[in-house]
Amino acid sequence: MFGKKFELNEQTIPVVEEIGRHMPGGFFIYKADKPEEVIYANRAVFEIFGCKDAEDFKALTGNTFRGMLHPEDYEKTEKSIDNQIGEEDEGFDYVEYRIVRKDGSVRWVDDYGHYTYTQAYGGIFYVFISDITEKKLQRVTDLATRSAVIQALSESYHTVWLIDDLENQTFTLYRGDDDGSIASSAPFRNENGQLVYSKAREYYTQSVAEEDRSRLKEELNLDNLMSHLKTNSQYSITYLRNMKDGSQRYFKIDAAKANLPNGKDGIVMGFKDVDEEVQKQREIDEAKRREDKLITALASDYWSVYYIVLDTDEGVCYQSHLEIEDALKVGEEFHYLSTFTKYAEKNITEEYREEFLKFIHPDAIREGLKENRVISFRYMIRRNGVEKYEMIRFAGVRHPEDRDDHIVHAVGACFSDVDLETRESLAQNKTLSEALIAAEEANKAKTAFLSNMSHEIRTPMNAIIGLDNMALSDAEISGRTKDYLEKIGTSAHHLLNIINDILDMSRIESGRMIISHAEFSFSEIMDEVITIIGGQCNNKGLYFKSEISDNIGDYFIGDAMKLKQVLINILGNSVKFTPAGGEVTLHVEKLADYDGNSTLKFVMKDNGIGMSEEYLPKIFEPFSQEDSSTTSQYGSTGLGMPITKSMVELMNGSIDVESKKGEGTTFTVTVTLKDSDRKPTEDEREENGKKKDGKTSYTCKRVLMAEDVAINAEIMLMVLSSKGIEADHAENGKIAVEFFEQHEPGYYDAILMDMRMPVMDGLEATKTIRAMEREDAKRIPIIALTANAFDEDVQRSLQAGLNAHLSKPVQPEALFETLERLIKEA
Amino acid sequence: MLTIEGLKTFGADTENGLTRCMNNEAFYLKLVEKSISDASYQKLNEAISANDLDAAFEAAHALKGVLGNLALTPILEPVSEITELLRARTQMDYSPYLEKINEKSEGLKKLCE
Repeated sequence: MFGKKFELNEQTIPVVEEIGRHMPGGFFIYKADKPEEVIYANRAVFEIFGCKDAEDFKALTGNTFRGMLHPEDYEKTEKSIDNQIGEEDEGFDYVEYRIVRKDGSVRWVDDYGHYTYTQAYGGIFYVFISDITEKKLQRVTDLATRSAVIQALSESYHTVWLIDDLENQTFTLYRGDDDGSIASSAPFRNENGQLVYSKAREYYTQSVAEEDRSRLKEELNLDNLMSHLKTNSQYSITYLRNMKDGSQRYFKIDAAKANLPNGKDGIVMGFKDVDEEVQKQREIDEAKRREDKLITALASDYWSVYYIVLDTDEGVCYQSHLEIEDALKVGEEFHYLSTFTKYAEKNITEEYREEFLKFIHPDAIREGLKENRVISFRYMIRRNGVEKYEMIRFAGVRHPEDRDDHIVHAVGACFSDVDLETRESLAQNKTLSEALIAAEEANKAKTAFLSNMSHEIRTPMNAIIGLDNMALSDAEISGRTKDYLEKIGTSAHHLLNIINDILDMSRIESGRMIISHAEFSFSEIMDEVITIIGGQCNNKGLYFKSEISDNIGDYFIGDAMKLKQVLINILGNSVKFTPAGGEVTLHVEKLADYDGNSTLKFVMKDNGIGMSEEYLPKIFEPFSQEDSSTTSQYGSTGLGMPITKSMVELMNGSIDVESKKGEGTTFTVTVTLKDSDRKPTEDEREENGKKKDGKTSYTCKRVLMAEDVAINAEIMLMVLSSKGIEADHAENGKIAVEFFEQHEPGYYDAILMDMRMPVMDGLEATKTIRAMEREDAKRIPIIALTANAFDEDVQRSLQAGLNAHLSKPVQPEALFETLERLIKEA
Repeated sequence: MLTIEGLKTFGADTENGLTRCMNNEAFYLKLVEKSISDASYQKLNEAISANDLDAAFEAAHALKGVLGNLALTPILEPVSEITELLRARTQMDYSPYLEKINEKSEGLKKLCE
């Protein structure tokens, strides 16, 4: 301002005064030489000092620069000005100092000064000042706030350095807590009291574990740090430190670039203990490594393995598919659904594709994995012209945090080659089902064979027995021939028994033995039994005793033949196993009488050879005999007792046996029979039951009745038995066909056929019977029983071979008339 | 205790029923009693509630046969009607029929007590 162009002197001072009067800020000029007399000060300066005018100002300051300053600030200010003027060619300086106003208050001012030399006054300073007290206060507050923020931010670091002079490599310590290492970040100062970075670094790195020491030293090179910080805002170094207690912990230095007020770059370095974090991370890394290894190991069974996040449709490949050229690579990320869909379209055969796509839908997977840990789908692929079975499996990947919502968010998916297993198991299934069919057929064949064979053998057997009897009755034969013929007769009878047993057994086994429900005369049956057994006992020299209670009715409805067979089987055994001179007894009594039923108990006792306790449970097993020698000694099929037991059970009865070796055996059979209301007529009593039904004039003797409803069947049986017609009851068409098949031609006079039956209906049964190759198959009258005339297609039933229809409920008279008419026509 | 008189009051055509049982009263009454626990009642109810008209027809048909034989007219009537509707597999609300059948069969059951 002043100098060469404007010389300040006595003459120019008024100009300066004129300018200064109008300036808003303080402006004054003082001489550089002591006592630094103030040559000029403008009005604003007076105001800063709280003075009215120049007089006032002079009184306060003595018109010297020194007098203007707070006494404590003068020396420091003087020194700073000297320094600045000495360094600066231009002669500028800037200082801040306190002043004391006229009213005694202390204020801060700033001072922009300029030194210049004048002819008139020598060296002078002209100065602009302003009151900066408020500004300064604000600055202090700002600083305090800032350092509080820094303090807070640096809380996570035990030590914070600010490298504030990169050229001299000195730094400021912002924080330096004891971090428990062997060398805390002890500061090292140079002659100016500044902290020297290189020394501090050297000292600090001594505490670093040996393996990390040289690396860290290099990393902490400031040039190195700066080069990192040019591209990144932050740079971190982790290393291991030796601790005082001998342990080692992980530490980390975070370095960041700082823009310093002087416009230069600095570096902030924060030190912290990250041991726990590192350990945790290490554990996680280790677990992940283990998992990866495990996945690799497990994945060896699969063609390919993927990790899929269902919620975001993202997937990662864990194992690449070896057979596909453009397969996803390990670690490659992909969009799940579109990738898998593309795979399906390219590889999976059409018949499986749609189902595969349904299966892999995220919703379907979530739904499937609700119930199962793993879901799988097998399909066929075609690659390079070869068809193979492949399987996809999904397993839920549950993270701990997923546990609450029970929804699967991520899954593992793997593809595997199941071609061999599938083909093997398909082949195996086929073999099994073929074996099953074969076994079923073999069983059917066995049953058919046994029943056919028995039928076939029985015919010649009858011839042998008949001819043997005829031969025996020939008077001309010699004693020896007679003996032979008798032995032939015995053997033939034995053989016939065996055949009958086998036939019975095969019927029982195939569930085809059926209990008839026909009225029979109880006394007649008992007479037959007593006659047969009595005769046998007589022949063998045994004493036979029979007791039948008086309270037993005369007529029952049930299966007389089977009851008779049971009693003869048991008593026959008693005879067989009781030595001559022994005793066989039969005792019959009525145990209970209820609801039109009678429970009868038959006790058959002998004092023969008996059986051991151990053998008793086996007595009803087929082909079991206590002593194998008994077979040859007594002659038996070993089927008698099992057949007897099965028959008793079919009659809903029970059979028990008690025996003691050497003392004898007692069998107890209990059966419940339906009472019949028929009372024997006087004639019948006289005739001793030899004629079955004196009043019948019907040609019909025995019918086969197919009816599935029990009550209807009972009524029919009742109706039929009232005319002395025997009836075999079949619960469905199939059983009716079997009944018919099992009995010789002419056994049944007619068949009553319900139309609607389970298993096989009446039409089907009629067709089957009509198609049989036996003389009565086409001829036997078959009468349809229908619920009403429109119930079944009459035309169809006629085609099936039915002769007539009877509407249900069947009127007894109509039934008898139809039966008579058809049987006569047949 | 079930009697012929009781059945007559119930509305059964006992004369017809007895004829079919060869006028054997005890036999007839026993069968009537037996018919009460016929499984077809339950099958019919279950099949209707499952809307299985095939099974319902089978059950109704079987029931009709038994009831006809025993001449239990009051139950036979609704059963005959429902049988014809079921034969045509008519889709409809069968509950009024079932109610009537169940009510009448309950009535018969009471007679037997």
